[in-house]
Amino acid sequence: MIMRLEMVEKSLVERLKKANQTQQRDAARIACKLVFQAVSVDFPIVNDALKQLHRGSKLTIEQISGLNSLAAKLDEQYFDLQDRLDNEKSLDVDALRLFSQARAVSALSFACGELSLMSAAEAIYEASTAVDDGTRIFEAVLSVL
Amino acid sequence: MVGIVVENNFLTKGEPALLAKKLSDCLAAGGSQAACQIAVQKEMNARSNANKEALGLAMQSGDQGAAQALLDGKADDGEYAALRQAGVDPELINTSRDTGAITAQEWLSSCQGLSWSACANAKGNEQIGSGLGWLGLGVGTKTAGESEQGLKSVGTSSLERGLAYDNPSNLVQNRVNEIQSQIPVNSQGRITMGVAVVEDANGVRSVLVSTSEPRGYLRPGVSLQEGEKVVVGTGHAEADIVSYANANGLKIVDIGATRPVCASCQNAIEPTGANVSTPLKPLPKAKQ
Repeated sequence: MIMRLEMVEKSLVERLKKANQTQQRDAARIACKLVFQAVSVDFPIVNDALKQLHRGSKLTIEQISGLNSLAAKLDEQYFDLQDRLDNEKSLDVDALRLFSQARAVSALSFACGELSLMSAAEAIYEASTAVDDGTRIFEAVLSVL
Repeated sequence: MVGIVVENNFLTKGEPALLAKKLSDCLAAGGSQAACQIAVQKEMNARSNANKEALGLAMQSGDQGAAQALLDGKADDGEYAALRQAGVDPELINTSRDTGAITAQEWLSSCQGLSWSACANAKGNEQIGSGLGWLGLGVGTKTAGESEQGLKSVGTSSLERGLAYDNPSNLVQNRVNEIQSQIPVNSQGRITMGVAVVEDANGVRSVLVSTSEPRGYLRPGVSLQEGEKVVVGTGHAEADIVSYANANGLKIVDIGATRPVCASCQNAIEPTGANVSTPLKPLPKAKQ
């Protein structure tokens, strides 16, 4: 099974595998921090989660569930917008914004949950797909590994 | 036969008691039995899904210690009694059974190199859906959407490499079916993923995968095989493969997609002479 992050940054995953838990958590955290600098998502549940993430405290199952629901809702709005577009057209700006917000919230959900190599990798992958150029996120993540 | 990892609810130690207390608190606060039961059931499902996902993540990442700890931390049948005593309809409670459950180590070794759905099929088991579309084998039927022939090729990279030359159409169809089954259910009708066998100037063949989603995003649960390359494009999965192939001097031998190929993609594919191995969307009638 190839992790999604391995498809785009195999060497980063190798570093992540060798990292300790603190480094893995820091990696997920810095990816989230950067993505929310680039993508504006103004929801109380997100703001609270970000504060807790920066404090290093873990979210409750209810909070994680709330973030997942929000990501799903944003995805639904993104899909709806896409479906309304003419079949011949490519991605619309508003749909892309919703997609990016969904990915950012999803990254946060992975970063704030039970820590594992997989969740850290998933958080970084989701964060990297929330922005046009994920390179900056990968570089920042590598700096803490 | 081993095979049951998680069945339905997967609560950890202490969670049944916590939920039972929530139910009694709800009733004490004047809530109706039905309303309180529904609320507790809803939370039980959310917790169960979160636990399943955590286990799936641990297993997918190969973190055997974490996976085993989660399996060891499952609530036992005795703990579910607290919920029954609190008045939750026992029919709503399906405990995760320990009997016959395989260990994380056994699971990982038996599924090495296979996707979860492929492993489920290979073992003749049924994949139990979870929030992320991974995980969990229960004894039952094969996962829908994958043919017997597809099963043989999954996880056997040499056969896949052979298929790229011997029967690229079969490879494309198999991969399209597998990828389709991996896309989360709520996204299946809304995402198109393309698969193509391409050949370089030296006659070497490889597999490209594309998606209609921005930035080449793959939904959780979608896994690629060794050697497959994701093509990032503009929203039309098949046309993106054509653009990539043209830009990189590759000939498209065979192509397919998880949804019927739209008119603009048919137009993009047509000049390449590639065989299209999955259904086409009917072309719009010409205006008079």
